[in-house]
Amino acid sequence: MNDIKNHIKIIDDIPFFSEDSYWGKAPKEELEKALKVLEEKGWEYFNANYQNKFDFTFEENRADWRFNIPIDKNFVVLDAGAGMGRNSIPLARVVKKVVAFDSSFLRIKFLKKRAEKESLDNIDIMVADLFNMPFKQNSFDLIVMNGVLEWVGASDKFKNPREAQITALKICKNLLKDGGYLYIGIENRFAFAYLKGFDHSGLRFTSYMPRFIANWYMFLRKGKRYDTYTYNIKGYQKLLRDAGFGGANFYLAYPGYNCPRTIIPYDNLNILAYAIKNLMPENTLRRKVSKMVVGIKPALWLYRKLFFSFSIIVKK
Amino acid sequence: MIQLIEKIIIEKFLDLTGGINVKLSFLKYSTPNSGKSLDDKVIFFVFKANEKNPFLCVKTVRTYLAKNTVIKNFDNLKKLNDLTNNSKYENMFAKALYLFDDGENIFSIETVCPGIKTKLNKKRLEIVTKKYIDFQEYLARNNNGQFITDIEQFVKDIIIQSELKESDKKKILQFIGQMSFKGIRLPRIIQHGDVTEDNILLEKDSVSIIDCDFVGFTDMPGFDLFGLFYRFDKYKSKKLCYEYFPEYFIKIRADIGVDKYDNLFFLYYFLEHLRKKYLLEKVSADEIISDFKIIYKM
Repeated sequence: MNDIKNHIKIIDDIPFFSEDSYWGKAPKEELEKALKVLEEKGWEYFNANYQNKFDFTFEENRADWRFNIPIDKNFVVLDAGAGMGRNSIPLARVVKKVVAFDSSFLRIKFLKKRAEKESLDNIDIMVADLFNMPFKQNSFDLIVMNGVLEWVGASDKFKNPREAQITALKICKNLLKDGGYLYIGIENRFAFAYLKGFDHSGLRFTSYMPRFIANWYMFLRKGKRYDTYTYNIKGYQKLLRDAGFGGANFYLAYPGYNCPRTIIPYDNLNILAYAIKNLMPENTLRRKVSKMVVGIKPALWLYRKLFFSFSIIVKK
Repeated sequence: MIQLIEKIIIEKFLDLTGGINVKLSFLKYSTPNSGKSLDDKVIFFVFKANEKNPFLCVKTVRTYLAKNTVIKNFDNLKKLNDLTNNSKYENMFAKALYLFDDGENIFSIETVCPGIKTKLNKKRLEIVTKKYIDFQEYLARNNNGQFITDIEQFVKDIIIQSELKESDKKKILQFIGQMSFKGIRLPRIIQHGDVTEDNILLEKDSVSIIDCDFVGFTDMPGFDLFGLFYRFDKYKSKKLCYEYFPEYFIKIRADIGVDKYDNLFFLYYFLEHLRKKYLLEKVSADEIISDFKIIYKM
């Protein structure tokens, strides 16, 4: 990679392999301001004022899905779409090396600062995207796609979003060593939560719609195609198969893949029932109802179908 | 790590798993607060195929550097197991079964307590309180005659050894100095240290208590009950204390007059802050004292 580095743009010691493209729930200006505050006033001030912003960035449990993979200290990990380091930082504590890239310079710059603060010198950081990466085949023991696959279709290089997703998965497969693992954290297309919330498109109900209707609706409302595809279990299984991967292990992540406090094997309804009954809070009407119907198998089966998000682990 | 845990469970607990070809499933769980610090635990419930309830519970940490969390929890549980072995209280806590440490991974294996976490109401609180008082009575009967006779000195030592700022230490010592602890004699009884709604499992009339991180934090009797009442409803805790502590002190054979209760409650209240360092970071000694005066109407 050093040869390549000699020919590319580098800012603040961060090499660019793709154009800088900001994303995130917080506006770019807010992160810019936060980084400035961090540089001028240090971590203590930053933590006091920004700790709870930027989506649980500091919680170590973000990468708890990793317990389902036999990670060891010799692992080399690629965190694709690393963002601000929610997965890279916990992983770097337990593996040999993490290569973290993101299309947003600001987000990856924050990751770099955090790694320095934590004295983690085993994270390589760069601006890149899945279709512009400088790595050789068979380089990684684990590739992380946490909240990434659903956004891949936004690339205009492909005819349709699904094709972009399959290409991205194929790229990952090539980068993995034989026996290496791919982790995907992603939403369920038919999640119950989408009844009251917004889909990735920024509109309501688009994930439920047949793709061509969602597409038409997006054009009508936003003037562009619907490109943030999510799937149900069968859909993800087919997508992975089409990308050349074998069987995958699916897990239900509660409250979501971004904060997987509870991770339940998808194929075990008994464990789901136990988790609902014993471990999930009764803080909403939906939770109270779930606890009541947990003994009714068809209801439990349906509950699983409508679960919010998945952790998916697939071995090359 | 799950693959390693599964291998060890099958190796070490063949009698419990029922064969080497058994397929185990794992439910990962961590509390909403777990993840704020590297010392926080990660829990796995282990299920046999087609079983509705887990048969083992595995505790680990996110980095080997935090291994002491697992070791401490395991040792604390063993301590409780030793104290309750062959008594009717032996099922009140999980059984510490095995500690694995290969220098890279660390985890403990224990049994799973029966019952589920339940929102406490007055009736359930009473069930828990009665059971806990009986349990403490059992421990008091077996404490080999160890007593705290000089409460003031006992607490002074704790304050002096604490990580409080010197100015805060001085203020707390001054406040305690105005109180009288004369004539109080309390048996030393190990306290669980974190008897909260979140750590209590109920099933019919059985009460189990989980999470042994703070076991042995103090052996000053009453600390657990006070904490339970305080966290149930801090503004009703004084009333609850006066309702249950007379029976508690009689059962554990403590010598203390009702006129000294409030003084003792302050010590519990203060220890509660000392136990959870983050509470101390948020408030000063002045605030601890003034809040106590408000809540306990002193």
